[in-house]
Amino acid sequence: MAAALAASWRVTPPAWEPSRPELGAVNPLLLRSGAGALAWRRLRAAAAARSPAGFELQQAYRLHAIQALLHERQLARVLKRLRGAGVEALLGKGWAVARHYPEAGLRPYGDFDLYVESAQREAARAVLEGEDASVDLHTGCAELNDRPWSLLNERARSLPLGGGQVRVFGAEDHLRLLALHMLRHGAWRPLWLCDLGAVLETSGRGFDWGHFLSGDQRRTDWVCCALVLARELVGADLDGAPEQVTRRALPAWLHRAVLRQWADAGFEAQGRRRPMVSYAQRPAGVLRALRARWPNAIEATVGVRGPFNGLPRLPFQLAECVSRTARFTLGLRRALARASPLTAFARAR
Amino acid sequence: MNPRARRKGLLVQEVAGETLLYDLDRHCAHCLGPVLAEVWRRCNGRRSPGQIARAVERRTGQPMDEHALAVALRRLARARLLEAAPVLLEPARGRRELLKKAAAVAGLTLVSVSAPRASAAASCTTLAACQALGNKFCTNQPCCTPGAPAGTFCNKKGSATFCNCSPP
Repeated sequence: MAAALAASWRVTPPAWEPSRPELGAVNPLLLRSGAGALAWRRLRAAAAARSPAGFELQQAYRLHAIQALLHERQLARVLKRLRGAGVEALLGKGWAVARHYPEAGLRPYGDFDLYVESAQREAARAVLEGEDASVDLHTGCAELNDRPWSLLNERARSLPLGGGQVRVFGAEDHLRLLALHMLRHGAWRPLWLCDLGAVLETSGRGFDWGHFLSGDQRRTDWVCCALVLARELVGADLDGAPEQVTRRALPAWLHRAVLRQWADAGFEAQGRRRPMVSYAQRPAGVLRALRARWPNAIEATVGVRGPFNGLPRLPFQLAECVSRTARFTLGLRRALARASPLTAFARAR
Repeated sequence: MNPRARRKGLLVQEVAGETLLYDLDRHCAHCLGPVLAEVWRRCNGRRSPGQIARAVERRTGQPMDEHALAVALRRLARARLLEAAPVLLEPARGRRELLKKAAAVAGLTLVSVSAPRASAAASCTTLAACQALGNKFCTNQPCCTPGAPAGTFCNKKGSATFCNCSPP
């Protein structure tokens, strides 16, 4: 996977010439993770491009290009509606990162991540009620809550979109957001590492490393590791980055954790899994479901705010499991209390 | 009747020498080879098939006879990319001969673009499976019927927490 996607975001990516068996093996992983279009761009001159697996990557390339067109129309409409209601949202991830790629559709996305400050949340939700487009509405920005919203807003940029404007995070804030988001989800998606490469390499000489590295220092160390990972796995260019980034040595487990995750054809991301609470009524498969939820080393470390050092990861994974179980139990108790007939009766009286 | 390209309800995107068309009414996408795309563009309702063929030849350098044009127009019509259906030429010596002649003209391909096989665990998603998915992971696959309304896809609407089967 890493070989297939190395430097794939560049205007002229290096050619990729896998054998047919190699392509056959990596093809499902590329398609599942949304990296088919990127891989096709590198593959198209190779002999294997004319294989059935090559055709599937080409179809992904075509499909994502069309989807990009559709999504832009939708996004422009959503933003216009929000602006009409006086809501000024910041757009992150999705379109905001796809624009760093040389062609529309190379970086597919399924929804729009819109960030609003808490005072505008209800107004935004009212506008989005019944909206056709898929919007992920965030109140504030959890990954960047180590800096005030006013600063994020001040550093945001306006870009043209569909006859209107879209506001996106400043380059430094966006890169930090992307890196932290990737780590929080265990870096399961190779595309996220490509994003770091694409954003870094198109940000230009004016990139404010001081601001990028500011804020919570544990998170700063995490994002440094993310950038070095992008260099070491997919060839991102860290030219111009300070030594705090370029000299950060990665612990041995980090590469292994990422590559093992990418190679796992059976992996299902959080959100694709059947909710645990549904196993209460139909317990068949609950052990497999629990196994699927075992946190990988990266998400466990980030989940418990641990350091990316050489210590074994099992204690972090166990701690993260305990923490998740506690959150799940608490959430379940609250939900049951809300649904309880006794509670409803007591309220009615 | 001269052929006329449909424009309404279509999104057009040029990508790497191919013309991608998305039909907003039928929610399907097509990829036209370069010569077929030129035929489609020149169908303005005023040009005769012969004029279209000559214009495409000038533009692409590919010889285009009446048989190749007939195949091209038939493909466009089947994909609902023409508003005015032309009077199609009868094959001189059967359909196979017609297609053989057309195959000599490169770039007359029309490929329907759909989600690649490996990106779908199944050909459709049941309503229950769709509604169990968190909003960031809606598959956009067609929903299986019966169970979900026909023509719906597993997607997320607005700020809903979970996916649902709804029109695309």
